[in-house]
Amino acid sequence: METHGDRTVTLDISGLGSLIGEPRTIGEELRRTAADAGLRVHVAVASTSTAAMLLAHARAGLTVVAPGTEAATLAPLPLRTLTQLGCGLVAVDPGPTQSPKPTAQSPEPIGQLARWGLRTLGDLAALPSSELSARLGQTGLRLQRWARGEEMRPLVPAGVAEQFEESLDLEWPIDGLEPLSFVLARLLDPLCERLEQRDRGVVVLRVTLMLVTRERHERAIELPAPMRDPRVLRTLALLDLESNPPPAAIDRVTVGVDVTEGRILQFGLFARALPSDTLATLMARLGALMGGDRVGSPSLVDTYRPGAFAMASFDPPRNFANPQSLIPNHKRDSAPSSVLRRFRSPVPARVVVEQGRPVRVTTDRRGFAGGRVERCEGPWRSSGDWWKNVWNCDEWEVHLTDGATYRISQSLNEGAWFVNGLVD
Amino acid sequence: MYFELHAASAFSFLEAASLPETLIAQAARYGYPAIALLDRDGVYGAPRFHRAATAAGIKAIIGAEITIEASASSSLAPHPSPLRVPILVESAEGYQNLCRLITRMKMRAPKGEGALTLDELDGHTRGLIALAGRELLGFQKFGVGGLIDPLVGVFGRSNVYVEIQRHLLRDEEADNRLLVDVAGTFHVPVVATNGVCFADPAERPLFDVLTCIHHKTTLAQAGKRLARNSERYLKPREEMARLFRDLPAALASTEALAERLDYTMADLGYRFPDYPVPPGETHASFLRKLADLGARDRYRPYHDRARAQIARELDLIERLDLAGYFLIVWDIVNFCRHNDILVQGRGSAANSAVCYSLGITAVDPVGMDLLFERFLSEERGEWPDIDLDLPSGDRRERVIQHVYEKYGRLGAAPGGPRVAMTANVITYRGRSAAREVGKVLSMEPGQVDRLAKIMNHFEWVDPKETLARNLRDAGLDAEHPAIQSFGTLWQRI
Repeated sequence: METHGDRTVTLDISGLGSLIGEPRTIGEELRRTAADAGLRVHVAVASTSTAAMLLAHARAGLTVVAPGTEAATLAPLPLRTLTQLGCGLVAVDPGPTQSPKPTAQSPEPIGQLARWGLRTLGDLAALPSSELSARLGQTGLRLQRWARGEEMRPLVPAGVAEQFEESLDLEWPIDGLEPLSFVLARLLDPLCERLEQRDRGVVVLRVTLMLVTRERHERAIELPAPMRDPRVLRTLALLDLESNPPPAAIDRVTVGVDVTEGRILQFGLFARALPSDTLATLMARLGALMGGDRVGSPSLVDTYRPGAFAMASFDPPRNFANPQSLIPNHKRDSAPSSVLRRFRSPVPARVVVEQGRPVRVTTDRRGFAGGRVERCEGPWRSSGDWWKNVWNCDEWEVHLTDGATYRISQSLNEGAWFVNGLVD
Repeated sequence: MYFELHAASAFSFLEAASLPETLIAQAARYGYPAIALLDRDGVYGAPRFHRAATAAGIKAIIGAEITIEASASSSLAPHPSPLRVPILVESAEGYQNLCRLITRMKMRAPKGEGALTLDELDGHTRGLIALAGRELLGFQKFGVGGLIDPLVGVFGRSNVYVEIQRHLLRDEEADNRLLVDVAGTFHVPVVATNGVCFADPAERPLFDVLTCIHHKTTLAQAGKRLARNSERYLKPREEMARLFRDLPAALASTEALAERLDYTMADLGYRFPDYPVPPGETHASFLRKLADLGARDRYRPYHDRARAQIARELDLIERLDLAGYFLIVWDIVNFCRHNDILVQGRGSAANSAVCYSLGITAVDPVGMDLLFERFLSEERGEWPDIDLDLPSGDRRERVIQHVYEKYGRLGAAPGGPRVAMTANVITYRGRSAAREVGKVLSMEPGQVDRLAKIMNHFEWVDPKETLARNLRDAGLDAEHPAIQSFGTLWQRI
C-alpha cells in the first residue's frame, strides 16, 4: 500500500483474486469496509496506479477499468484531473477561491496546455510526443504519459513503524543487579535477533523498571555508535543501573530501543577500524566508576581563567589511518616550539621574592627539586568571575637552576604561590 | 614624569565605565597636571571633562578614537574588524578638523555606527596628532609597519606617535617590542599610555556589565569578550613610571606631547552667527532701536521704570557682546508669528524686559518685579539661554528649516556652517538600570521585574528608603552575594 497525501491510497490488489474475487468485488468490499469505518470513498480499479488514481478522483463510487482500456477510459476526463497526481502542478481555471501555486520546476504546464486549446486528457494523449517535448520538455512528456494512464514507477509501500520493545512481568520481585542481569539477557536476545533481521542498530537503550512501590525507574542510555550485540547492551544497561540503582524491588522489566538503519562502512586495507562496542563498554565502565561528567575529552572554555577546561563527550574518528590528522589544524611544519604540561592540581610552592620578582622556588613535592631562579618572565595578570568564583592571579615563567622552566602563579587575593606546570 | 594621554569615559557608550568627573577626580588625586579624553567617535564628554578639569586645576586635553575601515578606493586591505585610531587635538584648527571628520562619519551612518577611510582623513589632519598602537600592527599586508606607514603619510611624520601600553598580558610585550622597532624604522617617537577605561579597579565589574550590555549577553556567557584583567584604570603616575622604567623615552614623550597639545575647550572661540542688520547699524544699535519700538508698544505708557530697566539690560547686553543672540531669537519669533506658528519664550528669559519688548516673552518683568540677573549676570560669566516652545510636527520643522536656510547649512554660509542640531544623551534610570543589570547577572526574570519596580528615583527621597530596605521589601535577601552585586552595580550604573 502506498499513501499519497492525506486523501489518496493506492493498493496492489494482485493476488487478492483468489481470496476475494473479481476486481469489482474487491472494489465493492473496499467501499463497504470503508463505510463501516464511517468513510465515504471513491474506488477505482485499473491495471496501473496512475489510471486508478485519476479515475478515483474524477469519478464517484466504484470504477473498474478493463486492462488495456486505461487510455480510452481516461480520455474524456478534463485536463485539470492531472492536478490530483501529487504536488507540482498548477490548477487550471483556479476559480474565485483558489489561487495557482506554480512550482520552481514547471510554473504553468497545464495552464499552457489549456491555452493551446486542449481540454481533455485524450487531447493531451493525442499530441505528438516529440513536439510536446520540444515545447514543454520532460514535464510535458510526463503529463502525457499520465494522461494515457501509463505507470511511471512501481508502488512504494509505506512501512508500518515497528516498535522494538520487550517486556517481562516477573513472578516475584527481584532485587539487585545479578538477577536483573538474567532478565535483561532474556529480553535482549530476541530483541537483538529482530534487530539483526531488520538490519537495525540501537542508538538509545531504554530500560524501564516497574517497582513494587508502583513507581517507574527509567533509564535511557545513549550509545556512542549503533550496535546490536545483546551482551554489550546488557553490560551497558547493568553498568548504568549500577550507577543509578532502582530504589526498590522490581516487578516488571521493559527494554526498548531507538534504532537506526545499519550502515556499511568501507575501511581501508591498512586502516584499523575502531571497535565501537568495546569502546562503548569501556566508556560506560569509566562513567560508572568516575561519574558520567568526568569521562570524555577535554575541551577549551571561553574564559581567561588559567587552566580552565570542560569535558566533552569522547568521539574519536572511525579509523586511525592518519593519527596526525586527529590534531585540529595540524601543520607538521609549524609545530609549537614549547608546550606547557599543566599540573592538574597546582602544586603549592614557596617562593622568595626580591624587588617584586621571584628569586627562589621550592615545594614539598617529591621529585620537584626547585631552586634559584635564573631567568623569569612576567608577571602576567588575569582576573575575572568576580560575580561567582573570583580569580585574580599573576603568572610567571621561571627558569630554575635545576634546568627546568616552570609556570608559577600567585593568587593575589590569598597570596599563595603554586607551580602550575612544566614548560617542555 | 608620566601624563595620561589616552583615557575614555562613559561617553564612549558602553565601552568605558567612568564619568568624566570621576576621571578628573582620580587624576587630581594622583597629581596629574594634564589628562586627555578620547571617547569613541565623538567629543560628547569633552565639555564636562573640561569643566571638571578646570575646577580641579588640570589641563583637559581633547581628542577622540576614530573608527577607520578599509575601502575599495584605499590601498588598505579589508581588516576583519574596524580599527580605532586615537587622535589628539593640538590646536583650534585641529578641533575643527576633528569635529568635521566626526560629523561626516555620523551623517551617513545609522545611529551608533560610522567609520571613516584613511583617504577621507587626508587633507583634514592639520592640528591633529595620531597614536599608532598594537591594533594597527594587524595590517601586516603592508609589511612590518602595518598601518603606521599610511598614518605617517596622512598625518605627517611629526604628528604620529607609536603608542605602547602594558596591561600585564602575555602576548602584549612581543608586540610592544615590535612597535618600538617600527617607531625606530619610521623615525617616530614612542609614547606610553594606559588606554584607560575606568578610573579605579573597583569599577571593573561595572565595565564588565557594560560590555555584556554592549554585546547583548550575560556575564556567564560573555567569555573572552570581558576584560582579561583590571589594569585599564587610571594608575598613579609613579606606577606608570615603574611600568615603563625600561622605556624612559616613552615616559618623557608623554610630558612633551602634553605640553605640545595646546588646545582646550576654553579656546573654543565661539561666536554667534552674524545677524544681517541694516546698513549703518551695528547689532547693538539695531537691538536698541527694536527694543525701544517694542517697548513703546508693550508699555503704554512707556514709563520711566521700564525705560530704565531696558536701558540697564541693553547696556549689559552690549557689554557682553550678546546683541546678535537677541536679534537671532527675535528673528525666529518673527518668522513664527508671520507664519502663524505658535511660539512662546519661557524660563528665565521671562525676567528680561528686552525679551518682553521684542515679543519673545509674554510677561512684564518690570510690573512683576522679576529679577533680571536670574536671566543674565556678568558675574556668573555664562551665556543667556532663551527657550522657545514650538508646536511639534511640521510647524516646528519649518522653523528649523528657516534657521538652516538663513544661517547656513554645512559649508553653505560664508565663513563656514553656523547651524547644528543638538541632542540629549540619555542615561540609565532606576528601572532600566535594574533590568539591564539583572539580565547581565542572569537573575530570574521574575526577580528582575520585582527589582525594576522598586528601583525608582523620586523627586522626593524618603530618608528611610535605602537600597537594602527596597530589596527586603521586594522579598530579596539583601545579604546574598548576588543581590549585593546587583545593588552595587545598580548604584554605579
